[in-house]
Amino acid sequence: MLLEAHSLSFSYGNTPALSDLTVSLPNGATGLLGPNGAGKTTFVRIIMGLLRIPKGKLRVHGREVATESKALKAVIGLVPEGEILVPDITAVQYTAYAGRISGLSSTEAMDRAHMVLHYVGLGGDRYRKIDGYSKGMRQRLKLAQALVHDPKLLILDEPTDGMDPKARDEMLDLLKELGNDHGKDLLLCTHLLDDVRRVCRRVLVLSQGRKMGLVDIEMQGKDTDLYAVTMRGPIPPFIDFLESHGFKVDVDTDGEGQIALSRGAADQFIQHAVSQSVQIRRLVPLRESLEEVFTRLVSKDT
Amino acid sequence: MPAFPYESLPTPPQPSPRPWLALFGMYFRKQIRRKSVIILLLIANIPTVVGAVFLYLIGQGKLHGGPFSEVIPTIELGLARPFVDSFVLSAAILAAVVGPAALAGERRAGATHFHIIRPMSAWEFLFGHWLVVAVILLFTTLVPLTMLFLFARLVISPELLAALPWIGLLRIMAFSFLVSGFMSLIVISLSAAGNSRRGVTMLWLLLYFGTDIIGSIARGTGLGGKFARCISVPENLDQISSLVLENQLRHSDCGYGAVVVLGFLLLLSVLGLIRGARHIADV
Repeated sequence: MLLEAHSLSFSYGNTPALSDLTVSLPNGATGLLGPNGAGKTTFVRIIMGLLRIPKGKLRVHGREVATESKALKAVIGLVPEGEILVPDITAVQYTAYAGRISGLSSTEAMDRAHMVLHYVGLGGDRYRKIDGYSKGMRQRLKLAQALVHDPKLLILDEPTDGMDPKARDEMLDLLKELGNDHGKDLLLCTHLLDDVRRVCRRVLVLSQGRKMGLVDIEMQGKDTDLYAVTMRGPIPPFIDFLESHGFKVDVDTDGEGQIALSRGAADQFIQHAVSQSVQIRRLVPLRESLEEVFTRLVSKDT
Repeated sequence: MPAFPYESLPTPPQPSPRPWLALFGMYFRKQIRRKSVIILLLIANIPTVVGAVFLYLIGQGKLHGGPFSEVIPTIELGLARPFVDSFVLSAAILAAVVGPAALAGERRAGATHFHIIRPMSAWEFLFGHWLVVAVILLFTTLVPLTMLFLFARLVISPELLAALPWIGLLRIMAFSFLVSGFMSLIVISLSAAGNSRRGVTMLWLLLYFGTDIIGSIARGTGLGGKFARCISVPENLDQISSLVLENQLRHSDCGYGAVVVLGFLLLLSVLGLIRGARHIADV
């Protein structure tokens, strides 16, 4: 299990940032979505042990954050939204230094610094001072410093911020590869739903510090009972027939529309169509887009 | 992205018990390579060379009279007071250059956040930076004073060797650690609590030289009576240095009040550090 939060609450003075958050996230890539002030950053800061937990419990990779924060930081890599540069040093010095503080020996840290800088595409610029790096390069460098100590969990806060479309694509491919091929757990905080869709398996939606839903992107829409349908034949009597048998149908006279089918009812529907001499040309489940899921879950709160 | 292999470590890393050592290594190298620091260190050590020449001439019996003629007989350690004063002054100026750059100068780049998201507490972060500044300041206190002491023991005549007992080296070490530790603690606490590099430099200079000017004015005008000297941080350090190096108070005016004043400053520094640590953790 990647993360287990139980009745987690946190307030800034009298302003609640997280309210009674209870969630279990399995291993893999998870997106953290929510409008501004939803509590995403607070949640990340609590995971990193930067904020004390006043109420509730949080375990990451089976370890209590409240008591084992230092050990956890050694196996977490964070790509924060803001700047985290150490001025006047080169990229390779910076990345190796990140490894040293995280517990690697100096030789190991330097070896891995070269490796991860190549991996994130900064191999050719690794001896340049990082003060002169562009925004996109700095984003890659932030990923390199988060990867150097080979963390089990990567937390990324707006990792594609300020990147051009090509660089963004490359970054997302890389994150996907880290999750799929290298077994890293990812927690991706972003406002860009497309980034989440491309990298994550599931999405945790927060709003006003509360969990609004945990959506499995791969399974999303599979449980829905709404299907798009195209039929040919005697449509009006068939609609009457279906309605008399308890089906909910919204189909026009041309045979185009939607039909609600509970699980296992599709076979029954097709048998009815055959018995009424109606051809089913198309029957596909209607998937709710991630945008629609997000809007629905967040509007539930308001 | 290039298809470069990403390899996993055979075992997950364990957090270092002393992460501040890595910080010390990185920032010491960074500071010591700064041109301003190199130049200041060179200037600060000019008295070392001058002192060595004088000690040699005295030791050879070629120098009589003048301000340095009393060097060995009057000071147990064989170190003329002007040299000690110049080293302390250099340390104060160096602290103004090195201290604010350590924290306040890097905060805008996010260097604080970089450290705190790793297995390093705010106190370890501050301790690492304090150590960097303290060690650099030792280059203007411990290093030249020790060199002068050893050189004096080499060149002076056997009958004067009694004036330079080895215990003097311990006194030099105590004095150097005290001055460097004290100054670095104050500048680091200012740097941790403050946001602007320039502001921190100004505050330190005001604290050091400003109090000296106010103390001089107070002494000149008779305000504050015999305690006027207590206002000045350099005067208080002078008093402490005499106590440590020569085992006697330099002035009777303020007496042991210097210890109280510097102790109070240290207390303020600790409060500044607590504020700074909270500030750092709240990134």
